Amino acid sequence: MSRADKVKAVVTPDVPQNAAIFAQDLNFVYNAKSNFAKQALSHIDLTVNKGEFVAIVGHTGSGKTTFVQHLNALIRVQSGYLNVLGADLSARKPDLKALRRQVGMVFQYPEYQLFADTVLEDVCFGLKNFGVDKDQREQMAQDALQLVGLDFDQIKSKSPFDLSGGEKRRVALAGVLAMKPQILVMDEPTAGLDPQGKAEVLSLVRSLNQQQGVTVLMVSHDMNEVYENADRVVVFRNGEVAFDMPPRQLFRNEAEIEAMNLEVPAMAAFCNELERHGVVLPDSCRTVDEVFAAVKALREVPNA
Amino acid sequence: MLRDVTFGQYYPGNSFVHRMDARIKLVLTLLFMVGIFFVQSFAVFGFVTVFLLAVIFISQVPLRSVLRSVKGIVVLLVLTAVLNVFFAKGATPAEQPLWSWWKIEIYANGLKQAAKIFLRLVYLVIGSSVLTLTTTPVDLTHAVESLLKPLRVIKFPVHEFALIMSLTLSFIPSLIEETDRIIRAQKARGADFDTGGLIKRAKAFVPILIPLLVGGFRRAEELANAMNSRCYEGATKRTCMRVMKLGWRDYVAAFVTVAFFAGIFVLYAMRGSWGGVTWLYF
Amino acid sequence: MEIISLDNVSYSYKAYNDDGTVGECIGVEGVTLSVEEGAFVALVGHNGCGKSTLAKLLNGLLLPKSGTVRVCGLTTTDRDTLFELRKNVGMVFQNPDNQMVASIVEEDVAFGPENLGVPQPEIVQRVYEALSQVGMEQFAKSSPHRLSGGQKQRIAIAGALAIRPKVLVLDESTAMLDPLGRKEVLDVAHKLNAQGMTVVLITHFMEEVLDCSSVLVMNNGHLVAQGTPNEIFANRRLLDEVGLRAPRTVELADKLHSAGFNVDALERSAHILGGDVCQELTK
Repeated sequence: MSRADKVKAVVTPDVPQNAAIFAQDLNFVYNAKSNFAKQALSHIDLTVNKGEFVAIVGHTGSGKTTFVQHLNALIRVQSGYLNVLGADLSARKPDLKALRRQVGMVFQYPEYQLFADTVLEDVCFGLKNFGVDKDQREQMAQDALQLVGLDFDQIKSKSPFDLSGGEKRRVALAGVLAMKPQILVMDEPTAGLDPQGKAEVLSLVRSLNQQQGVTVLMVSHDMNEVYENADRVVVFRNGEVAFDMPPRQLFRNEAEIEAMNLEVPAMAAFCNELERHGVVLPDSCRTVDEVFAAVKALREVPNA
Repeated sequence: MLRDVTFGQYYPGNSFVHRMDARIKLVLTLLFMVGIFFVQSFAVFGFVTVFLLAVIFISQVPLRSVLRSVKGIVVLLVLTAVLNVFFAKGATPAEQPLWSWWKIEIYANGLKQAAKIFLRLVYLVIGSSVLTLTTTPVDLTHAVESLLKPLRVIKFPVHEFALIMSLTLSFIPSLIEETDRIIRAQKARGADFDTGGLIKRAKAFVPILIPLLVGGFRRAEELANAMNSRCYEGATKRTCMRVMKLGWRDYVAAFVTVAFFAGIFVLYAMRGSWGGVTWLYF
Repeated sequence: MEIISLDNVSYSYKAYNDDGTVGECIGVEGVTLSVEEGAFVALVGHNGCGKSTLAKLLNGLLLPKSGTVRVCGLTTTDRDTLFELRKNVGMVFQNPDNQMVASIVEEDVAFGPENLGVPQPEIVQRVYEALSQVGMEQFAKSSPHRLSGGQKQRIAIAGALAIRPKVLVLDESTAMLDPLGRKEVLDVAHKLNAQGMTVVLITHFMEEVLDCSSVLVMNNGHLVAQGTPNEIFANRRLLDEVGLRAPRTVELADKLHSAGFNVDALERSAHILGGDVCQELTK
């Protein structure tokens, strides 16, 4: 290691004022000391601002899951710098409890982690671990269950295992939301749900993001879902950030997207085709309804 | 990686030992394990050492990998050896202790006994790890099923036993993955598995065990459906894709090993009657 | 020729009420349908609508409380021919990890033929034939958990093919896969269908329904509609009612068409739709 490198490793970088997550030159190697060593992350530079809705996409093994697990120190920083909500996670002993309360993490199929006798107890699990008082806990659990659209009085004393699949998913979400996290990290929150279930979860996440200012990081394989919801899309490929840009901009590169074996969202493909013919819709039109309204407006004012 | 139980501690290779029939390997390993208890003298331990080293050499598994298995039982080894040193008496009442203090007496015979027990245990572990290093758990399962077949006469459910082994092997990786995921998820909700007293720690595992158990039942049900859909109806009229055939390697290996241990048994049976060659009985 | 026929089939589950009494929960009710040999039928509906229950009725994993289920002329309630019936219906389930019985791919695929008592040399032949049909021969000696989700499901399909069924039922087999894995499974299903296999695809991804010969829509245990994909997509009211949505491009095409644009209301290609719209906008 050269002298310059050493100095770089010691100096704490300047974290931008508005950053919720700030990673600089983050690296991670699995089984570092064995023959099976695998570089999962290499030189990740990424900033997520407070209040942003960022989608993370990439294939299995691209490093996206490894990256998001860094955010509440389920995986510890090996090399590089990571700052989450002002806490330096590259430090030897970050305050894990404080961090984990602020960074809510929703894993794939979160309903498989339900365990308690009653819904209320399960939703309160996190709150209890973080030392919230008993009376306050119940109030917060009630708020969270209402937030995910469940009737508190009706459901609180049911066993989580007696609920339908969609309800279980919401209870599991409530268990994370009850802690009122500032950052919500979700690994495919809509996997396995039917279209209606998907739409409900996404509208919940959107409203948390827009109305309560929660910073959202969502890992997803569904490009339509990513296109319609995210402010920004980060594409992981072989442990590196391949793209980091707003969705409209990203999906203009149809050839490159397809080369990465990702789908081009339907509305992006449609707008790309219009642009090829010289018709440009605003970048903010990404849902079917928005695109439809924009096209209709164009016809009504043809030379605008 | 811990996840890959299909290959257990299997060391991939294509050596003479790897290509032997798993049944023969299993039987010969058992013979070796029994035989080792009939070894009486250091001289014969020398022969066994040469035999074992030869097998390891032929198997092309690095000695380092074989010895790694001994690491796991170091505590047990030391403990047994030490106890033997302290509790063994002299070979004859006339033997004087080498060293004594209060009630503790150490005899030369005790040291010898301890060394032999130590060697036996080490060789047991090495012998069995040569088997598992050169045979996949899948092959072992087939070998066990095939060798237990005669027990069907006494209504022992051999097929079911083997099926359970095989299903366990195929489910362990996903169970480990699931456990890992649940632990992470509960940690993310502030669960703490590392601090507090014994009871607190035991309690902390409830949020892991319950989802695992519930998940286990769900898996079992799906598996049962999948098996039924593929026409599973128990052992009746089942056939097997895997054919196990003995080859020349198996005959050669069996002949050599059996001859070697026959020699050891003969020596053991005739102990004391060959006055002249005492070094074989030292 | 008719290969699957359901006549007024009902099935209900035991359910425990809040007060501890045992009640009934409808799985499917009064379903009558028929599937022609060689068809590629999609069965759609929201989660809990009864489509998986229906799948399990097809090979006698569940037996109807009333009505009859017939496949290849055999009735599921006839104990004596159930084994024969299951030989004709290959089934692949949702979670690829939960249907593997062996930790080596070829042994897993061999499980079916072994159960049928097929002689050893033929088992090997069947296994390799099945693996080549799903394009997985090179993984014959691997352990399945190292594979991707799509590959695992292809192994599961091979496991079903090795019993040489006439019908392949994919019971939400794509639900847990990423888009790439879903495409792998669907491509295999369509390839098999082209070779004459009858396929029943159970899903809630409407994009997967596009190339099916017919679509059955279920809601709350009832079969509520049946038709070609286009007929189903054109029925917006029905889709809203059962909580499904047409692929986005079709949705947009339909809206544009209703608003007086000169486009095909059922256009599936975003590029063609875009081209058509531009023609109209720029003329």
